[in-house]
Amino acid sequence: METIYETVVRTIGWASFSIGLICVPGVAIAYLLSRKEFAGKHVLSALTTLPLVLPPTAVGYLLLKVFADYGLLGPDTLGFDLRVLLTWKAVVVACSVMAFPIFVRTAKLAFDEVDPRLEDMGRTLGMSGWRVFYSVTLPLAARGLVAAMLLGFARSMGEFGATVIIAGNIPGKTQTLASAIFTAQQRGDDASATTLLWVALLVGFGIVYATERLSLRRVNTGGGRA
Amino acid sequence: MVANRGIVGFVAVTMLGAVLTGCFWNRGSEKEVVVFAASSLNGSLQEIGRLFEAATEYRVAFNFAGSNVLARQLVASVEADIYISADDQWMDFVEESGEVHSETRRDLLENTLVALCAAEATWGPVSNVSELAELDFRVLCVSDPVAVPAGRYARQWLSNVGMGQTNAWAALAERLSPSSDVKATLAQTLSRRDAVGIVYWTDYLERKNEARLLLKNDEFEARYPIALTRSGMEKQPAGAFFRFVQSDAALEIFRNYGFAIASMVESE
Repeated sequence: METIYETVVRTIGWASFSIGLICVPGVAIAYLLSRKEFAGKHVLSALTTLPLVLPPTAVGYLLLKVFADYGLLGPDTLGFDLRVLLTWKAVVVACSVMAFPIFVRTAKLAFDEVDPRLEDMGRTLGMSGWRVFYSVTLPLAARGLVAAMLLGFARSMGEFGATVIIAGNIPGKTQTLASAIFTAQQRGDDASATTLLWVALLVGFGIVYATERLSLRRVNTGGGRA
Repeated sequence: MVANRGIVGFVAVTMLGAVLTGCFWNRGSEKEVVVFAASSLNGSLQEIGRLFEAATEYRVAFNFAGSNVLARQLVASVEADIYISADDQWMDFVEESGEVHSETRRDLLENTLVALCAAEATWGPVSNVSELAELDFRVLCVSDPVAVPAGRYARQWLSNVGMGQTNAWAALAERLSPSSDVKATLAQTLSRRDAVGIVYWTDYLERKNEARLLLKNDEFEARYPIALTRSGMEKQPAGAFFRFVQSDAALEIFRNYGFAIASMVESE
């Protein structure tokens, strides 16, 4: 029998893995949206926000079509089987897609708050563009980026709609904290549902508290802006 | 200024929406019968509902879900007039809580179980459960075996078949993928080539073109009891629909969908 502890650990693991996956592309897109002007910027911005406004079930259904046998990333198209559907990989895919918008939006705000003049100064000192990003922009945006990771992580922890469609709800394999609560509630297993609820409350509170602390400190230290 | 106007506009639209929702919330509830029915009845009951609406001045609102979900909703708050469960246990549960009227409870339909796969899958029909368990599918899609009738029935069926030291259910435990009701199980099975699913015979018939039947359990009997709830006892449309689903026209539709009619209803 699957213990609650294992479900929680697994869920935290998947959520962390998802954030790890979206970190690099998320930061890249957030930086582009914050600093650069290019054709199709608003389209890119809208596309990255889409999973935030769509019903999670719609995203799940779309992903199901993509990874189905005949889908865009299905075995018939690729010639080999990625084995995503109904496996832990599907949980990570669903979490990553659903957490992406909130990550990018928060990260973009973090970059918005970095004074471009500081970057310019770096450039006049002879730093390369990459070096400026790495040693000026990134450290100044660090708190905001950590907040982005935390919020994305929280979104992943709670993901249900898309996950249950593409990963199913298999105890010990693809069951997450959210789907375990769903199963317990549907079975009328109030004891398990209540325990899981407490865990969800504690984890959720911890994340929000940490995020608040981070953003408060950023305001207090002024973030370098006059 | 522009931002302010935007906010005012947004608030106005939201309030208008709230007012409109309030106006239409309870529209027609006097003439409406609310039916909570096991999700396996989805196709057949909707057809019967359309027939009923055409024949009477009443309207039917259906809530299809796993019988377990419906039973819990009923006990939490009686928003239904009629409850049709896919097994006796959940009807018992609701009856014991006093939410359904025991006098009106009766068996309506019978159904049986099948094992199937998507038509594109490679397996062919098998002759027994042991052969089924030996197929190399990756997942066995079932409904939740603890709570959902279709899942409980599936577990019952497979547990009764011995496989070496153990039984077929235990032998397949590692490959199970439970879902919240039988229609979800059916959808999960048919959306992939590496899965086998256990659903009702009637579910197979509804999606016959996309599915391949692997094994049918003719000895198995899933029973569907129906009853009026406390609120249903006081509503005319509820009584009318309760009789209508037991009429010859409705029973004919159930038969077309592959259900067997419970003997008590048939002899009336």
